[in-house]
Order: sequence, then structure tokens, then C-alpha cells
Amino acid sequence: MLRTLSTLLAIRTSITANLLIYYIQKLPFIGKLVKNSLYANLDLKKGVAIIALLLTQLWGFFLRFVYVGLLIFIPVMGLGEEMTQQFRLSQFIHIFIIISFIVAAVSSASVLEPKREKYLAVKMMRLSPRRYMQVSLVYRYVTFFVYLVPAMLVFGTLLGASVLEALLFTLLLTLWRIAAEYAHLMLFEKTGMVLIKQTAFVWCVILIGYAAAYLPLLLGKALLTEALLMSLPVCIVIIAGGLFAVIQLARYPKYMEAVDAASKRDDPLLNLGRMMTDAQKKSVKSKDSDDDLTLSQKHKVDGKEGHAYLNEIFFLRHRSLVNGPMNKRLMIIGAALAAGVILMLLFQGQLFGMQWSLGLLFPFLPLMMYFMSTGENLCKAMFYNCDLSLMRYSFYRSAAYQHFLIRLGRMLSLNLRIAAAFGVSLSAVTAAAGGEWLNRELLLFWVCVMAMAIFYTVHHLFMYYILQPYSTELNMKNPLYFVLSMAVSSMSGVSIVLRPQADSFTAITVVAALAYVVVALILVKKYGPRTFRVK
Amino acid sequence: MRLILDHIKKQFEDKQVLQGAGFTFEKGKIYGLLGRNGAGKTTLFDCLSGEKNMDGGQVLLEENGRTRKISEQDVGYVYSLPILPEFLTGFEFVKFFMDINRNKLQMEKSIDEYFDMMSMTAEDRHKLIKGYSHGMKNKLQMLLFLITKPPVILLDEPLTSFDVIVALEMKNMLKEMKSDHILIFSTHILQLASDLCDELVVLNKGKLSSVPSELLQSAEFEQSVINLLKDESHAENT
Repeated sequence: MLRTLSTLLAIRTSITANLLIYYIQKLPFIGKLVKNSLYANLDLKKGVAIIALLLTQLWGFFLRFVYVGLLIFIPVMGLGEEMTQQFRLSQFIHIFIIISFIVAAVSSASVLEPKREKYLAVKMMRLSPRRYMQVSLVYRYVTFFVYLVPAMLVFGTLLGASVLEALLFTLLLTLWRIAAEYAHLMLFEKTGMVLIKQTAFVWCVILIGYAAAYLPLLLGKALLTEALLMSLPVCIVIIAGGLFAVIQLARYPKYMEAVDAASKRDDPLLNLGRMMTDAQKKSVKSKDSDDDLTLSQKHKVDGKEGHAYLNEIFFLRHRSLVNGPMNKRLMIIGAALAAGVILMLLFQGQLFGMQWSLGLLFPFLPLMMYFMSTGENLCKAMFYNCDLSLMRYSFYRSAAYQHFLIRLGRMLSLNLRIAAAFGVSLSAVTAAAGGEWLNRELLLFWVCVMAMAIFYTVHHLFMYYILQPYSTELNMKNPLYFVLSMAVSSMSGVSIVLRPQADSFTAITVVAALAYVVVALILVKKYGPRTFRVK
Repeated sequence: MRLILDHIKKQFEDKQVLQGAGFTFEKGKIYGLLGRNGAGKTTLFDCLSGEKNMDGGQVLLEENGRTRKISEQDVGYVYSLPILPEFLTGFEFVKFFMDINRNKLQMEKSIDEYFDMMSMTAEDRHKLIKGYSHGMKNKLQMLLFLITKPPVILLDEPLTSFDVIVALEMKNMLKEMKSDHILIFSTHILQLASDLCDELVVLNKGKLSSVPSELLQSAEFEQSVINLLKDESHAENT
């Protein structure tokens, strides 16, 4: 057993160590210092492996803190501010029970989970499936308990539970989950069904479960779940059931079938990378109906030459990719318009005790316009369906500025149309609220919305041309791309927090949009031919 | 016209792939570049075509008595797996190509005439490239080089996974083209090399060396090439 455990840990640590080296190599400056020869340097690698092992353990603890803290503790503290400590504790336990005892027990089962490591260890390295499963279950649940204890102690005591109660709760959860594993295994043995692969059922359980978990907190209702769980009979049942499951799992003779079900060679979940590539490729695939052009469309094409000709054909033959997202957004805007106008007329502009005014929306405009603007998927489609094949030609690369301008024009017309619809919709809602709606605030609002549409359009295209983040597998390999994307998205958060005045906000937005356009034009003209290539 | 490779060096991290490779190629001959897997054939081609930067050395083109540095426009690179924009028809792609390069080309023929030269039917040329077979995609790729007529044409592992008929068409086309271009193709298949090329160049240990043309047709050809390409550890085992 111990030998199998050490083999298993060795496999996991090696993989983590290699991954660590791989990703450190991708970092901007330090990366260059780490050469490929490090993979072969066994002494140094032992050091890396120790670091990897330590990091894995720390990560385990950290994850539990994040899980309990973000999903349970913070909502309880936030929404239960005015309630008693007893109420908060009982809500905490209730939510924990639903999501960890019920939902997680259904949606996760180590015994039947398709994992690459299972395939590697059992099918490729010929480890005995029984020993593999026994060892990996033991490791999983020992660490399950150990990782959870600190988080439970911290958050539990903060909410008024005693140390003993926190430990008991953790123990109950661990034993319950072991019993759930056994239940999954029995279900598989008797019916051949792998419950965790029944996606529809699992998702239903997740959605209903999470709703049931948080609703009492939102509605301020107290529940008996805590009392139920921590009562003596239930504790005894859970402990007994858990111990029974432990014994049965240790003695189970037919692990081979369970491992077989979880490690089929072509199981898509085993090759997450390929599954994601396939999903990405689907997202940039045009419809077959797009291929045929009508007579008037052919006319439009024939009148053009060179890059304009190419792009006209591209946009026509990918019209489902272009129009689809735009129409979706227009529909959402239309629905919001209808709902908003009705609400305004019914309540005479009063919502949640406040008089409606456009000024309320300004801090949220960056976020709203970010979602309203299309571009990212279109850039991906342009790369995969068009540019990937043409970038090899030097004449295409050196004309980067030319086709950048053509595409910028196209995407601007798309996004400005969406922005205009958005503007009309909210203007109508404001008009329906009554009062003096044709005012300076409306004008500022329109200027903002248009400027933001321009900003985001240039942003997507500029990032594509200058950073060219896509690889042939459609996954992104440029960390700078992530950094800049994060920076731009976080600006929406900043504006929500700072809540600037409409005047200054509009001024900043317009300046930012114009500046971005100018900078993009200059940089693409200068560096485009060099950066716009297959990486 | 001659293509002169002068002391080309290229290394990746610690590995010295090209170690001062040098050779002179002449117009009117088909050269076969033979080398083992990982020898650096594709790297050499990438350096010649400008896809990768060289660490040292230079590539020169001598034409009509004048010698100059080679530019990207002088080299046509034929990939073994042609990657073409699938949303265009063959006709649209060639039209686009000709529009863009109008200033640099002497447009001797119309688009349809070029397609006729490639024996591509009218139906095929107006089909989306998405539906093209491997052979048709390759014909389209070669068509581009008939239009632009770059002095140097590099072919990376040509004729792999072609059916018999298409392979024969390609071979005949290459034989016809050699009088106007310097043709260099890379392969690791001895039979192809001896069948198609006029001269064989071997890339071994980062350097280029030529195999005498008398040897090409001789019985000891295979053995002498193997001897050239074997490294010391293999030599000890025989």
C-alpha cells in the first residue's frame, strides 16, 4: 500500500513539477533563465518537486478557505448583518449542508471520475486498479479532512461555534462523503450507471440545491437543518454509515470495472485540451447556409478589389457569426425596453423608492457596454477561418494596417448600431418615467455610450493585431493579452466603486476612446506587419 | 541564376541546428535536400524564406551578373499540408492574390487560363476550398507560384499522401518548371530523391554536402547515402 501511495504521489508531484517549470518559462524575464535542460537535471528537479509538493499542500488548505469563505461565510456575514449570531451560524451550517453534503455528494465521485491520472496509472503503467483506488481514496479523504479543519475552525469559531463542534462537523462531512462514494459505486454495480456523467440530472441538483441553500438566507428564514444534523441520532447514523462505507470500499473486489468506466481512451473529459479546442472551433464555425451568396451579395463583392474584396466575402460567408451575436443583443435590448417602459408607466418612474434618472446608470455603463460590444469572438473567427492561412504570405502581413482599417470600419458599424439601439431603448425608458427627459444628461449619456462602443471595438481589434494571442489550437498563449484584458475589464469595476460625476465621466470616456483610436492606428501601422503573424 | 548559401548558422536554446551550412544552387536543376528527422531541413527552409531569422551567415541571389541579398518575395514556400482560406472559392482566392500583387507581376494570363494550366475544371474552381481534396489544394498552391514566379521555390516534403495520379502530375509539373526556377525539395525518402532530383544535397550535423550525380543512378547510391547520414554510435553497431 505504502509503495503504491508513494508511486501515486511521485506521479502527481512529477506532473506538477514539470508544469511549474513549464509555466515559469512563460514568465517575461525570469522565464528566459529557465532552460529546457532543467527537465533532465534530476537533482535540481528534486528541489522543484519538493516545492511542488509543498505548494500542492498549501493550495489544498487555501482552496478550502476560499470555498468556505467566499461561498458560505461572506454571504452569511453580508446578508445576515442585522441578525443574531445564532441565526448566522444556523444559516452557515444550512448552506454548508446543502452544498457539501447534498450537491457535492451527487456531483463528485472519485471512484468513477474520469481522470487522466487514472488512465495513466492503471492502463498505461499497469498499476493494480484495486490498489490504485484504495490508495487514492485514502489519500483523498484524509486530505479532505485535514485541509478542511483549519478553515472550519476559523470560520466556525468566528460565527460562535465551539472548536469541538467545528471538528465534529468536519468529521461528519468526511464520513458522509465517503458513504456517498460507496453509494455511487453500488449504483454503478447494480445498474451500470455513472451518476456523475448524467449531466442534466447533476445540473438540476446543482441549481435546485444552490437555490435551496441561499434562499432561506435571502428571505431571512430560520431553519432546522443545524439542529437536525448535530443531533445525536443523526450523528451516530452518519458515523456508522461512513465507517461501514470505509470497510466496504477497502474490501471491494470489482474496482477494475469502475476504473474501466472512467478511463475510456476516447472519453472527451480525459483530454480536456482537445475538448476545449473542439468547443472553441465550434464557436468560430459558420453555418453551411452562409456559404451561398445571393445575387445582390455577389454584386457587392464584385465591386471590390484586394483586401476589401477579401473582407467583403469573409463577412458575407460568416454572416451567422456576425449577425448572431448582434441580433441576440438587440433582442435583449428590445426586451429591456419593453419591460422598462411598462415598469416606468406603472410606477411613474419610481423604482425601489428612488426616482429614475439616467445619472444612476453612468457608473454601470462601462460594464454594460462591455457586454453589449461584440468583437472578441469575431477576431477569433477571423484568425481561425481567414488569417491563419494568409498570414504566411508576406504581402498579407505587410498590409496589416490596410485590413485593420477595413475591419475596424465593419466592427464599428456593428457596435455603433448596437449602441444606438441601447441608447434609444434607455431614452425611451427615461421618457416613459415622465418629467423633463430631453436634457443635458441624456446628451451626455448618448456621448458616453457611443464613445464606449468605439473604445471596445478598437480594443478587441487592436489586441488582436498587436498581441496576436491565438495559436493554431485556438488557445491563447500571450499572458500580456490577459493582463490587458483584465485591466480593461477592471475599469468597469473601478467606475462602479468610485461613482464619478456624469460630466467628468463623459469627458474621460471620450478622451480615452479617441486616444485609444489614435494609439491603435499608429501602433498597427508601425508594428502590425511584425506582430501580425502565426506564433 | 544562382542561390548562394553562405555560412548559415541557427541555434535553438543550446542546440546548434545549422552550423555554417553553405551551398550554391543553380537554375535548371531540381535539388533534393536529404536529411534525417530533426536534422534541420525545415529550419533551413524557414531561414531561406524569412520565416525565421538566422543567427549568422547570409543568403544571396546572383542574377545577370549582379549579386544581392535574397528577399521574402524571391522565395516561394510550398507546404506539404497546404493551409488555405477555406471560406473562399479557388477562383476568388486567385483573384484576390492577383489583385494584391498586380503591381509586382506581369499578368500574362487570365485567371481561367492559369486554372486551365493546372487542369482544374470550371466546376472545381468555383467550389469552396473547404471542399477541396488534398491534391486540389496543392494544385492551388502551385498555381500561386506559376503566377508570381519566384526565382526560388522550396518544397517541404512534397508528394506525401498524394494518390498515384496526382503525384505523377506534380512530378511532371516540377520537371517542366525547373528551367525557370531553382527548385529545392526536402525529403527523407531516398526513392523520391533518386527519382525526381538532378542533384542531391545532404544535410548532416548542421552542414550541407553534395552527393556526386554519378552516384545517383548507381547501385551503391543507397549505401553511400546511408553511410553519409549515419552518426558514430550507429556506425559502431554495424
